[in-house]
Amino acid sequence: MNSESGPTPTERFINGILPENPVFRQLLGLCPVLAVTASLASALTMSAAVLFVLLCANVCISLIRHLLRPHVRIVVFTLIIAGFVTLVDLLMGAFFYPMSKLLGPYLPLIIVNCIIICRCEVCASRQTPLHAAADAIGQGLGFTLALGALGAVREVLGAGSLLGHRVLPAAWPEQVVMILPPGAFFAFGLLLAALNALRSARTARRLNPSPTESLAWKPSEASC
Amino acid sequence: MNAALAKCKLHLKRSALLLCLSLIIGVSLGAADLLLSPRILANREAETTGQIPALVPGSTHSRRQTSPAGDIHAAFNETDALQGWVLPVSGRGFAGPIELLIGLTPARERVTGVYILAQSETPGLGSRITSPTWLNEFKTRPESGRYRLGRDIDGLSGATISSAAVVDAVNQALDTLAKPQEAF
Repeated sequence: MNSESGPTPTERFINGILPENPVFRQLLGLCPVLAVTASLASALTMSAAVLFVLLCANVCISLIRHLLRPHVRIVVFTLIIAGFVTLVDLLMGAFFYPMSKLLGPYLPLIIVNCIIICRCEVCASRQTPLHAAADAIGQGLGFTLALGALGAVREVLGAGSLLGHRVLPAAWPEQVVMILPPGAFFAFGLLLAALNALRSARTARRLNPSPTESLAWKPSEASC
Repeated sequence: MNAALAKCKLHLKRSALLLCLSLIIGVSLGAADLLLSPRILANREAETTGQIPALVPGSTHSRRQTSPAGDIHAAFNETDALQGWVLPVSGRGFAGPIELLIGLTPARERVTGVYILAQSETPGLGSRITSPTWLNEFKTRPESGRYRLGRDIDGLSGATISSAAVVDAVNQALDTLAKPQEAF
């Protein structure tokens, strides 16, 4: 457990953004992904809150990693995460009041966001604070990327605006379903499918430069 | 006896980290709350006073007073003439308390506006109680003096409990305040 081997800070950072994206690759933390992406502003605020909690919790846990005992480690993780989440909740209420109102119960729910507990277990409890910080920022940015993409797609299609500014002509028939809960599933499913298609196309091309027997994607589309 | 003591010591040793952390986190959160809660309360207060001109037509400023129904804001126009009242009340929604502001005429028998201050209803369903179109229905005075869901106020489909909670809270406020007109 104390062997400091494993991915370097740079690897941790890069992996979090796309190769091991917490949302698109690990499918973790889907509750906020589906719940707060009706508008880009709330998605980005949520991501910022998660990034802050993830960074603080990862560094703290990495600092006390030698004191952790296997049977109480999850409780310790949860305790530290809950502390930082409550702090964020208070700070948002004091300084970003409209946003804290908009996010409502989803802010305290960051406590049960499994991305954070997963990073504490996988990285912070095994590696140095530097690794943990790089990991937290990488995973946090990956989470931001996912929430931002989904929030932008849903807000543009559902309300015709982006960050509250109108981007589509008034004639655009607003797809209200996109900002309602089912819209989150549609948008997330399609984004995930697109990313998976892209990925298998790239893998197929790398494994098999002449795209005749690609495994997961039609050869004609894999080559374009 | 000695064995029990040893066991107790072992448990304490194992959970020492947890105990220390709980203490540190508890104390720091207490301090943060002490520091930040006045600001959070001020934000909420500012939201209430900011809504008053919209809830009571013609009013520009307000003063907080006490009434039989708890704190109430008296709304005045530029010449300091009473234009109406704004009463903060709370109802029990589907997922938690719903806090709302009710604007009333000076005689407190009619509703001039309703605004949802805080709610934690299901997004997309119950959260539609915050929509101005729905809340505007309260401006039409019900014939019976009480609002009935489905007749005076449209029930929101998929959000019966949330819409009923708002209607009940408004009716309750009217009941409390419409008693013999005592000045307060």
